[in-house]
Amino acid sequence: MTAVAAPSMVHPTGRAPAMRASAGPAGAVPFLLHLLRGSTAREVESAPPALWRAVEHAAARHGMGPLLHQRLQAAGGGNAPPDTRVRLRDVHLHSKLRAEAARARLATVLQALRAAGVPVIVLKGAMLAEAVYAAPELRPMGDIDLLVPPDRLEAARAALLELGYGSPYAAVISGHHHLPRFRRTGSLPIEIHWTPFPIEFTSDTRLEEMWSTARPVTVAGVEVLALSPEHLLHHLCLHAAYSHRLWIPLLHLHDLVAVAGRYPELDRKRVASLTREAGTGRFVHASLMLARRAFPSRIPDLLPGDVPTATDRAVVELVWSSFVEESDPLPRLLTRLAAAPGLGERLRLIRAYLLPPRQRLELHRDFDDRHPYRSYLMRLRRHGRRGGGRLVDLFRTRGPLRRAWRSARSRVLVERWARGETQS
Amino acid sequence: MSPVSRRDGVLTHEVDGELVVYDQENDTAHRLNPVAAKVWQNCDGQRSVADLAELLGSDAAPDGAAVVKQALGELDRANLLEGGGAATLTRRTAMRRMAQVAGVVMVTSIVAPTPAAALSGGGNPGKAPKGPKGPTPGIPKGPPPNKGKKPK
Repeated sequence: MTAVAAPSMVHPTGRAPAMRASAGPAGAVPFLLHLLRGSTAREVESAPPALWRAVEHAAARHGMGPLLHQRLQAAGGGNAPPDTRVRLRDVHLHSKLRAEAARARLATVLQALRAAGVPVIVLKGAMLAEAVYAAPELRPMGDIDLLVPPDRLEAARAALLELGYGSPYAAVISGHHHLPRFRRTGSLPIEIHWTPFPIEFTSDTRLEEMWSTARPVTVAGVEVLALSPEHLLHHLCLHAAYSHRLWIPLLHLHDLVAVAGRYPELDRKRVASLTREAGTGRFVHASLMLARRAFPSRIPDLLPGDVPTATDRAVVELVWSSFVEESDPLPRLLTRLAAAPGLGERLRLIRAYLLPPRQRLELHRDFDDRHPYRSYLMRLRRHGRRGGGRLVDLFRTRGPLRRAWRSARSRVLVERWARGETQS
Repeated sequence: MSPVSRRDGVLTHEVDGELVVYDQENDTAHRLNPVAAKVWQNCDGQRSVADLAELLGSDAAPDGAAVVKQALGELDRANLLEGGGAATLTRRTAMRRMAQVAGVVMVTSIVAPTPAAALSGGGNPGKAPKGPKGPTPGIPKGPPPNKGKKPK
């Protein structure tokens, strides 16, 4: 009988376990980046097994497991311990089978949208996996993002409902750039966007240009559209720096590198003018600078004519330290509370969190007309479990309190920077 | 009752005599060692534990039945067998005991390839919610009217 490797790093659920900053040796992320760059330096050869285990954790946490496996394979194993190689191979296979399943489902969705006469631009992961990365499994994704024209949203929604997808909301939360997620058992969640950007950066002109410059691409065997390389890069940068406040996995930074490598014809001047038009310069700069920190030799200086401010550079340094230290974000509400200017604003945030307007709650499919209070209580219970769980997790497994506090302070500064409240 | 392996919504890939099984419904993957793989592939509802032990031959020596039971226990925990309810629970208890005796891991859960949720905000496939309740209203163009009513 073949005994398999002891599952020391395998979480009972199969999910990546939380990285213990204090448990692993220092430098797991720098070492991971070393390996991803294909380095064969002596420190790689002499790395202790504990460091390899920490790298496995870091790779899982940052979605880089399949890529790391590919790079190590190309380097003939890179002196990785046999257990590590087997586990990375497993993650790669997991990703491959997952991508295969996702591809089949996505094909059905894209065909249904085409049959309904809905033009589609495939965004982010699904597009990158098929058209930018060498193989779909190298770019794992958590959901599928599709862009449709604003006047075709209802048709797109009807097509998904017809396919058996459901949404926790019976209606749209207005003011948002996508419909609530559609889910179906065994399929990746689908987000139907009417604009790829948060609405504060959306304009009719920009949307029209995005559609008119979109390129044909084959995704899951179906002819669809993809953003032009310039819009794609702009979108990815904005998503990383504005939507996620730069608290992103390394995979998203690698996306920028992959796009730059895949489209050598990318018009850097056009990207620069797009950011000027949209007022998104600092987000694009910060994302690119962070990507350059992670993968220095693989991404060129992309924005001619624009110089990042000292604040942008400081923010990047701050975020980079968090990357290297592997500190974790606090729940979003706490960060927003800490960043809020004054007690009044904090109380307003708490009130809005605990008691949202009834109209917003009514959008939820579980809203009970006869007993609205019950819906409030259910919501509080849901949020309490989720947020409480994360807090407990943070303090139990993510290292000392001091590290969490430092992380929180960084988050507050980045939050203020993203809102444009900091000066150089 | 003869065990039946779950085949719906499951994708497999064979590598070095082992089998990687991806469960679409739960978005999980497991690595089955050669013994567990053989047991899982032959759980057709017709073969008994004794039949499966015979099929394994020398791979399961010296106590074939115990090895098969352990494999079944681990496959059950990984949700790779059909069935459930009281019968499964009873079996599960028995299997757990067997697994403790043998001390060899046959089914290993594989870490998910997606970035941690806290970092990416990404989701994963799993149980879908039920369909929308009642008629679906149109897409409002502006923000929902806030009449300033506070819930009592």
